Amino acid sequence: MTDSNREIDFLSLQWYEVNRTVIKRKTEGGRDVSLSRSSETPIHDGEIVCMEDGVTVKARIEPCICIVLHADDIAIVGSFCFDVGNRHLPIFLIEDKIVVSYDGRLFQALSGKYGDKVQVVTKVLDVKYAIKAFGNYL
Amino acid sequence: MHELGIVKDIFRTLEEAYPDKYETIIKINLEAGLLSSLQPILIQNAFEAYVLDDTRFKNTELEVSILPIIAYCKRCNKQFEVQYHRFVCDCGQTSDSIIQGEELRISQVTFKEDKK
Repeated sequence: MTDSNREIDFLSLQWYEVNRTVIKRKTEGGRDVSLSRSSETPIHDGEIVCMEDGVTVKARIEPCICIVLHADDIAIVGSFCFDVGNRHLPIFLIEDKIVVSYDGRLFQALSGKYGDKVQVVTKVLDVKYAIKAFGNYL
Repeated sequence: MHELGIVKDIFRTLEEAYPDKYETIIKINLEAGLLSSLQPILIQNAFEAYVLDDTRFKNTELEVSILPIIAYCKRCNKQFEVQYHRFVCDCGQTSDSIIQGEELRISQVTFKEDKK
């Protein structure tokens, strides 16, 4: 059977679930999927997570609310990354902008320091955009 | 930033609540508000680190759900969802009266025998 005549179904995941070792849930098409995997290889958007009975199931990372830094000044970018890194949060680089997952308290702190350089938008935080530090896969 | 401690507290709480069937837990559902200061990626990673050490729970799932921020508008006498960090009701009134968003709670626990 070729790829072209296989049915494609999607497993909806939140961005922060890509390191989960056990995932049991229904696909968007209503199929039960049970994944047992290593946490050292995060799931990326569009990745095939299982294939059976003529059906290919791909991961779909859901969009989420994010904080984006709009700044070209390297000192501001560095300071922002330091502040976010101090909270051990992963940073993403999307369309040349620094992006971090939104939480209300974090946004209050960052907007208090960086003003209107930080904005809240919707993005897909796919692991391919994550900036990886040594020993930190997400 | 102390997520491993939170995960340990969760397991400790569940052990106290369900001493007889604690080891048969197969799924824990958590709800975290967007004002709880808890980032789900950190709690999820801390959970994976914990079950790596305590292998009794290596097949246990942790599912974290995000609770949106709900505020209360005194002018309209109704609740509204805070979107994109705008604490402003449809009527234009600002509000810092938080109804939901600061919670961190275990919303559901599933045991092996519960699974249909």
